[in-house]
Amino acid sequence: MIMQEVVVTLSQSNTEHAILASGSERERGGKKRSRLERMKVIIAREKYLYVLALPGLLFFLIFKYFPIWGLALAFQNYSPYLGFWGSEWVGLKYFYDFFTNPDFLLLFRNTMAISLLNIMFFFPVPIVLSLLINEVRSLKFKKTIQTIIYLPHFLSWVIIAGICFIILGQSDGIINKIIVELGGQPIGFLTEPNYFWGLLTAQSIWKEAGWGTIIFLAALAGINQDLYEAAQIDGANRWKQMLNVTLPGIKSTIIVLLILRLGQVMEVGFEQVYLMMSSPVSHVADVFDTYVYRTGIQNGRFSYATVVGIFKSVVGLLLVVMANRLAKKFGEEGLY
Amino acid sequence: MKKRNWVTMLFALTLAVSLVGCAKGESKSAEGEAADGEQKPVEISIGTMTYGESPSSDLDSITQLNEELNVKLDIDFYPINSYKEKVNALLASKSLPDVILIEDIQDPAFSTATEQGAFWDLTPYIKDYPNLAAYPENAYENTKFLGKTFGIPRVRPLDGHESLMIRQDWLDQVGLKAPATMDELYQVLEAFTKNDPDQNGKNDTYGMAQASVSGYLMSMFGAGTTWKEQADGTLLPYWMTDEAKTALEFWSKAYADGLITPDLPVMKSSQVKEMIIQGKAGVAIANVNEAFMFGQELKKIHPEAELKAFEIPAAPDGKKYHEQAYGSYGVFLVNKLTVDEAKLKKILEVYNATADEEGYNLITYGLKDVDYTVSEDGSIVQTDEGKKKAYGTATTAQWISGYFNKYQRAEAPDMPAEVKEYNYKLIDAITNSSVVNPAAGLPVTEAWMERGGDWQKKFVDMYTNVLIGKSSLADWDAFIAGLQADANFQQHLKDTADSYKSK
Repeated sequence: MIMQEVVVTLSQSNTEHAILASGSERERGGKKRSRLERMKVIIAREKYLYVLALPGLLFFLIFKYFPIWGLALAFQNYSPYLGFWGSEWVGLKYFYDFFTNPDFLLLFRNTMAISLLNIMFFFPVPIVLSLLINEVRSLKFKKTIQTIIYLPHFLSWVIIAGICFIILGQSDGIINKIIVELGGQPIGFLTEPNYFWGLLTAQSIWKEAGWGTIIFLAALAGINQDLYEAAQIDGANRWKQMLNVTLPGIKSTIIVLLILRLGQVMEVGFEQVYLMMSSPVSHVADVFDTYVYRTGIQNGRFSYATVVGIFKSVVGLLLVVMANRLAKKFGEEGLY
Repeated sequence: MKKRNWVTMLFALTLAVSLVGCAKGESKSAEGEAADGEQKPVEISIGTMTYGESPSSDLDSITQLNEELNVKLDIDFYPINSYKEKVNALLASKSLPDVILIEDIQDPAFSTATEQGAFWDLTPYIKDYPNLAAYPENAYENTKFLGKTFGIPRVRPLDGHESLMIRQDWLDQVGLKAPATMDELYQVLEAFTKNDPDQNGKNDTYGMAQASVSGYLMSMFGAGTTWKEQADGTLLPYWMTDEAKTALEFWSKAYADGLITPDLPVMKSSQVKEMIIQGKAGVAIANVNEAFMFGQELKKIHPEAELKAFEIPAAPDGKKYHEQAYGSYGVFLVNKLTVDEAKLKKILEVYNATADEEGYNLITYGLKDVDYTVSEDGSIVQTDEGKKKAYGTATTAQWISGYFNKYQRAEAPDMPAEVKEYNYKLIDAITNSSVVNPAAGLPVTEAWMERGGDWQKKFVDMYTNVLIGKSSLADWDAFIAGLQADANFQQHLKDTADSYKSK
């Protein structure tokens, strides 16, 4: 529902812009009104909307924009006791340290691999799931399924990691016990680097796929029922209806979510990786988030950790901008 | 991370403002005291860790102490699992309480702040407080920073944290005696794994339960406690010694033969206890008294079982090696931003009052005959009332420094006299062969502050991988050679050796 509203508002504001644009063109020949005056008029006309928007604006200003100055820590040798004003300025030292760190490429590879696997295999799952749920006729059955698949979302990663250890452990795990009963050799699922990325992706799907269907189901509910009727009259079966009515109906939602997801390509979920990480797999598991935790929080190198944070954000921003451009090129609305 | 920094900044700002407010308030109250003669209780805030619940600050024990010393204690308990992060965040936001427990004075974040004068130097004061001054010298020596005492050490026994816990009934079953050498240890592990010591007809036991790699596995071969002094008077990290490699060969072979729990890299220490009390493994490294404590639980399922603590077997050179502890676990630092000298003395008074047996028992177990009773053999038994109020060694005892009891790790509630006697003797024997860390109390090198975290992680990864056979001993040699060739690491070794020589 939320996404639906966003999409609707976006299109509305687009039309408003169009009206304004044509308005200013009309006035070009006559008396030129300054930008400021026009702003005043708009503000006066829409004053209640602006009042409504105020708390949100303040929130972003105070909690999101103001603290951006904290990024200046990256250029300091920040010491909590000396504080921001007392700490020594060191310029780009920590940026240099970070990019010349021999582990940089390893961290980058692991982060990207885990993230891309996630986008490739996890991202489509909620879409497929919600399409399936959408086809279910019995309302009771539908609600039951929904409730069950939402459930894992409310378990914390700690519990899921615990369950994984119980199921996949080498000396005590259920699966290995079965393998040994059948005469096989126990497999170190948790300590085998080749399985690690797959394990993470599978965990994500198990935990979040159900929850992910909410937005898509909302989008599905917003599709005009007349379209289905028309399709039926044209002789389309359910499969054809899905391909030609349902999917196009939620396409923009999928694209918006994909763009947003790309912005988080460098965030691979600290808790999950941290909990599943152990020495045998650490060369495939160490990502920027765990690195920041180790250097920044555990070793107290705040400035260095800030540099890593900035790097992550910049990459995320670039990806969002690129993905948005790409989406627009293919005739989609995109984010902005 | 970016988000976290924003929050930190904001915190820092708001707290800076509130701190200014606090400072003003305090000076005012100090004046008030002088004026009306009747002293107001001194408010003292303390931050410490808890292994369980967070007890409240209005327990009877605290009220009693408050009245005795004319103070008002406000104690915050932070869970052990995220303690370090919590304390680092408090430091970063300048919102540390008056007294804060930190696990290691050499921790980079705190050592920098200490150097910059964030905490009181207690060196000139300790001698005025008899109970604190009575702590063993090592407890102070090992927690010194820049040659000064900045923290009140939470005093702990020097020995007894490292012993070999073995199933005596399994030994009898397979016809072996407690191992005296490493070869014998290997035989025991092998017999426990392969000879069905629990007689259930299934091959379902392990020789040893071990969670992740540990320094003990190497130091018992004579690799040294954290550092080892070399012939030329320099120091080498224990894991770079030849003995460490011998240990690696031993343990990687044991792992490959299936004598150790295969989950070693991902196991938590609580799982070691589970493996032992479920009768799935027969050997573990543990505190001396844990053999008895685990044994109690083990007997619930296997009444015939008997767990006993033993000395670590002799290394190939014929000597026994135990690691000697630092004599403390963590130190209490006193915040210079919020505490003046008068208040500092009050704080030391509080710690002095709780640093003898009486004070310790009051804080740890509460009021006698209400929260705990003393049984005939002199051991303390907590009442349900006491347990309900969250008194105990895992909780309330965490905010005081306590008193020194050499045999603390030999004792446990309800322990029969003969076990206690056996354990006392064991601790005496361990004391004869325990090795102190030669670098204890030395400053952390600059190179370590910058790169120590990375080195430590790479070492633990390599150690684990060689032990479980994912990497070879040749990889290990290459790893050590790589560090030998690393200029930064050499600088770290050189600086450590220099400060050791000038100690």
